Amino acid sequence: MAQIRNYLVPKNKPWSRRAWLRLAGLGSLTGGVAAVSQVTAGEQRPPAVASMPDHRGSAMGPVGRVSTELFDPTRFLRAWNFSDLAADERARFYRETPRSNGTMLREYEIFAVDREVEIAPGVFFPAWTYNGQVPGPTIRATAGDQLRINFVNQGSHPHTLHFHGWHSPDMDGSLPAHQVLPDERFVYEFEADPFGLHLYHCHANPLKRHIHKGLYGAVIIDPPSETPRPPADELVMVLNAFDTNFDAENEVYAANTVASFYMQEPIRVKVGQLVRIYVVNLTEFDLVNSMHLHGMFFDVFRTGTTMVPSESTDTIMLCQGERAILETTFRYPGEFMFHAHQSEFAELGWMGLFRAEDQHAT
Amino acid sequence: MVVGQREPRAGRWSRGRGAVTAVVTLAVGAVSLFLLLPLTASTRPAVRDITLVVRDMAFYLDGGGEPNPTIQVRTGETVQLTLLNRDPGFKHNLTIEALGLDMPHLETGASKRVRLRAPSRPGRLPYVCAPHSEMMRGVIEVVGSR
Repeated sequence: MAQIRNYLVPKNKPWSRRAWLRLAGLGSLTGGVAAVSQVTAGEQRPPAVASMPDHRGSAMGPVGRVSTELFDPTRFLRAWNFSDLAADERARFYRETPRSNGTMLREYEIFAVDREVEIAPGVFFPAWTYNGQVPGPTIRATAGDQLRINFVNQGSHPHTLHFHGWHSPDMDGSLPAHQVLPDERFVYEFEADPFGLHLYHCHANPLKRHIHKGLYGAVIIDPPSETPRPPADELVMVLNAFDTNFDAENEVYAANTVASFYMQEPIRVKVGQLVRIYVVNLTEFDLVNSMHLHGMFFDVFRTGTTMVPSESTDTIMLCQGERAILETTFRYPGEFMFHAHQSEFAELGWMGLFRAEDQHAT
Repeated sequence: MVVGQREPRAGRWSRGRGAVTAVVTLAVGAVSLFLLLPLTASTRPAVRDITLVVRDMAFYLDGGGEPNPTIQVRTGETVQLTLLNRDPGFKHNLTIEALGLDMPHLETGASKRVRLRAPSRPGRLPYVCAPHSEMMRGVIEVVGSR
């Protein structure tokens, strides 16, 4: 404080009204000592900070952090078939049984339930969720496996599970007759086919409301085990957005629900290691979404249904329900931004960082 | 009261009588309570406290690890049951239809205490969380006293 006094009050003058006003203005504008040092005593023009907002630092992303106790976007990236739960808790929701033909029966307990989720620091969205999280749990199987999803609706509205992929019409979860009413159950069962990156979502009416409220998730079907994809660090990103005031437009955008989360907690990857990103677009209300990765190019496997990339680019566009597997290898250590190349989405939360580290680093 | 006129003070005698009455009343009260003690102990056992904590879309006994546990009570027993919602983002309640209990929905962190008297006959009373009754359901088992 002594420093401020020296700057603002000439030693031989008493406190003038002007000096008081200037000090008060500075205090409310900056709240800090650092900016005060830019001002010299006796000058009549207002200090630079008063007329020009600070474009550094907090201008990129929100102030504060969300709680990761309920949903941790970092854990979500690399979690499928409830692998993020402890063994006994996981057994409540996922079981696998080998079958005689060498494939697997995979059983899931999926429930719809209303829950408030934190989509930005202090911003809670009254979501409709699968298993209390948005996006819902990622389902992963190998082509030819049998999937059995025991669905119970514990929400306040009728819901369904509608899977993309081959299945019979009675397993489609789309027509009014397919709706599962609150407190009712339905078992979806079908073969995992074809291999690729798919999705599931609620198909109850009104569809756009049921999707934007949070009822969706990713489905990864791996190629047959004789011809697997090469080993990689694998990441799941569901592109989503939230209409917080119900005007059929989104206010908050993200990859995996929490706005700008990966700006604050960069996704850690290794230099020289293959990185595979499973990107699914489930953004409602906007016609398309996109993903752009800085400082590199990636191979694109649209819908993941081929083993040969269809293109090499640094920006990919996806409409709702569209998805792609991206593969790249970081050449340089350091931080690389990724975001929607609709800049508006990026600045409303759909922006993050990769932090590439040398292989030997921890 | 007229200004300037003083209210007559209570006399020495009347004050003494009040004190004696108070002492006698207290003494009689204490003795009768003491005499009644064995009676109350035999017919009214201490009210048992049961706390149900909700987390991860299930009921748990306080400190227990079993989801939606079976709770044993004796016929005619009075229990003080506390529901504590420790499930972030969810509203939960406790409904025991057979006992006419339908709690309001509790926000995260809220709790509610009720006093319940078990029926005089043995039986099984389902309990549920009304908005999540398919996943959050258990049984109160009423067993004979001896």
